[in-house]
Amino acid sequence: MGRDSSMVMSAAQMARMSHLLEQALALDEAGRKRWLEALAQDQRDLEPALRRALLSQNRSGIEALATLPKIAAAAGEEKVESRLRPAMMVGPYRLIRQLGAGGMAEVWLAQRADGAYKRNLALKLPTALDLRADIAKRFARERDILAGLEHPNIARFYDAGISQEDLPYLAMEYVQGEPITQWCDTHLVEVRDRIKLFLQVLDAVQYAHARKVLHRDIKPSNILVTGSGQVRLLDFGVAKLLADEETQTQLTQLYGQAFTPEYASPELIRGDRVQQASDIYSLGVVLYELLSGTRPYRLKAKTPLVALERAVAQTQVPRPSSQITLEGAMARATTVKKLLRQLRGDLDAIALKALQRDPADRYSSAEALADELQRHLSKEPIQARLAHPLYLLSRFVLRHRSSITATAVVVALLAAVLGFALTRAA
Amino acid sequence: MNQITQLLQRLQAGDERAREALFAVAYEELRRLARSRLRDGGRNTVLETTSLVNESYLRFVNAGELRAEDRKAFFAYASQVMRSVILNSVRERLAERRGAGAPQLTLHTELAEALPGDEETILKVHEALLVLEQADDRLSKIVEMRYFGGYSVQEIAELLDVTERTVHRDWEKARLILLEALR
Repeated sequence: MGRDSSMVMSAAQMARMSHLLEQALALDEAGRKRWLEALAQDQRDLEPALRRALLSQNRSGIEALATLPKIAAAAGEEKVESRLRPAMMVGPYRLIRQLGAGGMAEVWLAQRADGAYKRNLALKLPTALDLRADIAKRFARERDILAGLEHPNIARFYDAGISQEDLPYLAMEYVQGEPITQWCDTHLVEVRDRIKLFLQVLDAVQYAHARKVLHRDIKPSNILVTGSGQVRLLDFGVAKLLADEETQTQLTQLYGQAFTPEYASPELIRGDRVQQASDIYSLGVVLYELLSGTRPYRLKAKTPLVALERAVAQTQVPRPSSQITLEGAMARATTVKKLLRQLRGDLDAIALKALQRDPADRYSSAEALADELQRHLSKEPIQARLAHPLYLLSRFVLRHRSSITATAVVVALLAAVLGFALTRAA
Repeated sequence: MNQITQLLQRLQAGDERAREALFAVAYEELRRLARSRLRDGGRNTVLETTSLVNESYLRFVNAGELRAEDRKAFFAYASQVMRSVILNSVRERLAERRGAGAPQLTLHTELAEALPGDEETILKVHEALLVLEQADDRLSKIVEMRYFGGYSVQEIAELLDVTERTVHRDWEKARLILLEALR
């Protein structure tokens, strides 16, 4: 059976397959194998199909046709009426105006109704949340953890609760800023300064990870740069709060909505457990974009999960330096040639290491990634490229440019090789 | 005899024009159901759908439009409506995205350029079902009721007058055949 666009199974084939499946489905795995081998000659054309049907492990969810896929409302279709209006009360907060609405939640500007604090905050109201008995418990549990995150680069989380009208809400600091990638482009930020900004992001992530909080949805729109040039991370841990993990993985829930899958780690796409390394991966994608102006995978927003999995499993991520464009160089206040030199080598290696498919091959922590970037900024050798003694030498020479003479180079070479050998032995 | 009952009987006797008339009467109600089914996907709506269809059904009975004996026919009709509404919705969305005005898109034009997405999957299931219908009518009805209608196994067994075990087995067969046809 080929793969062209017309229906490749005829009614007669389906009828035969149905009849044959009737026999084979009653058997166990071993019995099915024997049955397949004993298949009559005139039925052998269906053998590959039957083999797939009887022996392959059916993956849960997407491919199994178990149920109708969830499709967001099309324009013009009756939308789920938002019951929210300005001046409405949600818990102890009064709504001011709507800031935005994703598929999963509406975000409103709000204030405390009792006027205790004049401060504006952002109220996130999940629209698609199943109101089950355990939600209050889940909110309560997570709320304290998230509210405990106090870091200059993390937008504060204040409160989570359920209003009198049974509306779940999340109250967070209202941050005004531009996504980091956009901000850097608008302000024509050089590579070195982009890395310094990114180090603030890593500091924040390291802080949260140390407190066992994963972000789970790191992407530029969640990393804002304020008017004063400060980096603020939004929605730390919120994805977990909103995920109804018993019925669907986080990905399938987000998927029907305006979700760009390009920042999602391979394990998230596969539906496997999400760990700290998954945040590292997403950070890697952001770093890649900050450096080169492009993303490692280019996928349309509604790419189905099957194609996404395939892309992530098979595609070799190209080095950032190989993806440079004229616009990219201009946005980094430099020429294409200079940008190439800036990215080639260290930064290529760092970005690629963060984007390794196997979580174990990535940087083990945000701190490790930060240290690596610091080493690059100070022209010290980075871990990701330690295999080459010549590299070590080149770094050494670069750092000590002003004081090196010919003899010094020889001594330096010996020292570098020795030093390298020593660190290896340690 | 009341209107819907008459129409249902005519429909069952093979009078296709009765379908249009039925549409006018019961359609709006069932359309609402189908739309909400699309929005919610498979999440916790299996039992809900059947009870919602049941509500519609009871309303019509109370209004004297339907007899109790028509229940099975009404439910079967309802899942057909839902399939139809869902397909229209999906086609609209695809047309919208392509920027074309054509409401009647078939799969062949799509696959040339785009990778199959969820909307395309639904269309493909529908087309495969059209073929399956010729091969095994009961299998295709079960898929229609379960996949498009969202009916529970119990309901389907009752509507088709078979055991639940039969429905389970047939659903499994149909699913495997469709997965194969969709490769």
